[in-house]
Amino acid sequence: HTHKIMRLKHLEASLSSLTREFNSPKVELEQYPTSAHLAACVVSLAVDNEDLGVGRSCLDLGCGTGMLMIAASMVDTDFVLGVDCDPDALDVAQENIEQVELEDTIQLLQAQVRMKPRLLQEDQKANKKNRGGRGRGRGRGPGRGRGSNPASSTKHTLIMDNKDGIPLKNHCVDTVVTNPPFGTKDNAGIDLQFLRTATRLAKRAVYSFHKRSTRSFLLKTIQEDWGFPDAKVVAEMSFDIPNMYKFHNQKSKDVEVDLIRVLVGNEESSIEGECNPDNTDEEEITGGYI
Amino acid sequence: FSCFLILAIFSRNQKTTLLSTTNTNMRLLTHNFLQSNVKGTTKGYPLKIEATNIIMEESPMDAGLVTRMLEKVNYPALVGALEEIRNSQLLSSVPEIPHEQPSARDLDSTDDGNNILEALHQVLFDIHVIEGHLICPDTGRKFPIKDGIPNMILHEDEI
Repeated sequence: HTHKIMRLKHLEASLSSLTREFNSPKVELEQYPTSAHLAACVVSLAVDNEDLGVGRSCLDLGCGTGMLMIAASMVDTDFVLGVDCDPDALDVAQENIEQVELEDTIQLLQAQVRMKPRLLQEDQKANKKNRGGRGRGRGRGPGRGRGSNPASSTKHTLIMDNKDGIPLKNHCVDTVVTNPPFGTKDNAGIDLQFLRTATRLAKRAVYSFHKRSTRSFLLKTIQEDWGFPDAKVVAEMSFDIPNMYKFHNQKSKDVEVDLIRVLVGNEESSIEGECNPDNTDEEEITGGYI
Repeated sequence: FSCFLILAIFSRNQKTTLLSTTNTNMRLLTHNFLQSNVKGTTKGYPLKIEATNIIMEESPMDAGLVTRMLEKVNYPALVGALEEIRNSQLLSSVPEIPHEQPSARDLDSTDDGNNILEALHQVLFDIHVIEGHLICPDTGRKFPIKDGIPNMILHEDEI
């Protein structure tokens, strides 16, 4: 137990030295850095579950400035791939990788997780036979059609297969770690898409963060709709995220967040880790704009 | 005065522009996992490599790592990618690897085994593709590689 805590603290200390900031964070991509503490917690937990480390491969989906993937590499994961759509974030990630001299174990890829634009409700009724069809939902884009509420005019549906924008084969890595956007910028459901994409890319396990308010919906979707019975919340935390809600007057908001682990492959029991509020002094794990 | 002039010229020549050697360059190991999923692809794998800047950078070999990675790669695709690197003629020498996936016995700790392992290590990790394109084998769509990072973001009509 002490051994695990030492590893956690060492890992966090190493990660703290990274220049982790986005140079100018893009609000529409919901960019905020994953804190060193958070990354160390997730990765330590994953090592306990044998999901990361020697003999494992890892993908960081939406890697941003690279905190999670660098943490994964620091615990000697064989092969680590970071995927992000923003070239500016990838520039910072490259700097961070070079700073810790992990250029030979971490690779980067620029790609974007996509969802399928859904037809507006009226159109859905007219084209009833096309609902659920993969190739039919071309979408009408924002502002067109009868809806006057911009928030509801760009609904999306999940892409369940490998046409989700990520150019990688199914089950190409053991473990996917992701801190996804939460879908507050006209991209509702994007965190679910990240999770879905993660489950097809992983052979073994997925670690992903989601708003606590979506917990029961998420777990039900993962367990019943997607067929992964072993999916559970393995840690609870608070994110301090500035300006996420237009209708809030506050400058920043504490968002209650769950860390969910989905077992995708075969395995023994998973272990709850060090990051639960009961075990640590810090109840709040923060990440925010600099 | 002449000393000063010489010094000035000398220091100006000393100012060199470092070439971009951002080392997170695409290796053939990564290329092996990439698959095009542009709308209209049937398989999208493997992507063709059309490189304009490749370097070889030696790195220390971890035999266990190479053996483990070998189990994860699509070996024919690796051989094909190496061939494309060779044909680009951008490297003065390119390692040779067996045409068929070597078995555990082929990679035993004899000299021959070690040589094969070393060659595989170089092919998987030491060939850096810095600039060029990856090309979808079905649609011909070109994805640029810039500063060692492939950009495979799809346009709206390609999803």
